[in-house]
Amino acid sequence: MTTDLNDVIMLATDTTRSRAYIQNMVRRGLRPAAVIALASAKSNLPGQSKTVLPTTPAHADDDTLWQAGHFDPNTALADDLAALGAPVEMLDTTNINDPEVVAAIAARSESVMIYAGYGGQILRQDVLDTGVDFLHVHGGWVPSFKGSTTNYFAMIAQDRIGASAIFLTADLDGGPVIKRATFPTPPDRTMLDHLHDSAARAVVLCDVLESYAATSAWPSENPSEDEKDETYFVIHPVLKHIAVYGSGDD
Amino acid sequence: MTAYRYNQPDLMEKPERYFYTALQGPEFLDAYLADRADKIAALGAAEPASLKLGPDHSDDQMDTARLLDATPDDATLDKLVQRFEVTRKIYARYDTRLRKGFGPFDNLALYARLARFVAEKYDRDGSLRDLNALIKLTDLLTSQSPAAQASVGFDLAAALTSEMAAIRTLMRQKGLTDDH
Repeated sequence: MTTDLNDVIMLATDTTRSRAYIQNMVRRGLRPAAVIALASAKSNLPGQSKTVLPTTPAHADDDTLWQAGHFDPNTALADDLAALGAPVEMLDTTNINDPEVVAAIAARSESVMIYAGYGGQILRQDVLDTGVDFLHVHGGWVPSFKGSTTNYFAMIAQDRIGASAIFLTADLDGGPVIKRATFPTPPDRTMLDHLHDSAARAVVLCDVLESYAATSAWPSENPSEDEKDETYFVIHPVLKHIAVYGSGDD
Repeated sequence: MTAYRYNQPDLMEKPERYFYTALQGPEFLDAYLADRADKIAALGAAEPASLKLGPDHSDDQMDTARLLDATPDDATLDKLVQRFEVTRKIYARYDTRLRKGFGPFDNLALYARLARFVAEKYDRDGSLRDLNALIKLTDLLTSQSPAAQASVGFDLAAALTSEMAAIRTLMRQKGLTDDH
């Protein structure tokens, strides 16, 4: 059975994260009203892999996150969109701030857009002012792990990873929190960039969409005042190697 | 054999962004430690050097050397780290909110002094955010010529020594030894 989310559209890109979102939505029977897809044949942007990725991490049988949020990172985006079954407006650009994209979003009547843009792009004010609320799932637990590549820092500090659904604002990862979840560090720590980080986000996204479909209201969470607010920048490879090859036991 | 390549070529001319860096196995950490040890050994003993102060611009701009000549407070250090992380540069001057940089950004002494202060802050607070910035600062510093590194030898050696100790401690805590 498929649940149509009539007030929700999706912005998809040619990235592993979009594949994770779409395939998990298909598996859980969730369909947005439409998709605006940004893709360019020449692009090589953060979040894209130009090599064929493993379709399964090692120790998948013991990997509860992967079991919940698994996806094939090597599919053709067009095939995933066809399986989703929502109308697609394909735009030949990779830039969320492109005037054509801004116009396409502004022309929609739905109130919420699932955001799965290319990595490293900041939404400019004219995008945020289109009248749509952007539902973004950050790879990390906010507000303690805001910013970039935070799940590597969380693996070192807490031996777990997280994902947080928020509505985007001009304040980086500082918008209202919709739902958060943590997951045990996966048994295979080497696939965070393209598999586990996207899987964690997809699980939280689908939990949020199911909650909305059931109640017609977006869930919300209020982080406690004693939660540390910290913004991280892209992890240095030395710390990344410690996060990946370390045991997790202090 | 795994090589440590993140401090070459000249990162002042070609900044490293560190996006989606490849995993190279735990041997990579050995390569990093060996590279840093070589850099410290090459510096030898160095005397502390004063920063060359610029004019006091008072109202609209701050001289970065003046900020770093005294011991800056943690809020100032956090802002300079944030500026370095975003731009990979430390400018000669900043606006009073430390958001926009002005003037040249090739004064290695500013990077070295900031690195030493960030290393000291990590020793106090243990914030991974600071350690992350410190390694990037020392990557940039050790990507410079041996003579340029020697010119900031006191601050650079202190930063590198603290950084290596911090990484070794973290590796030990995570069950990693530097003898793979």
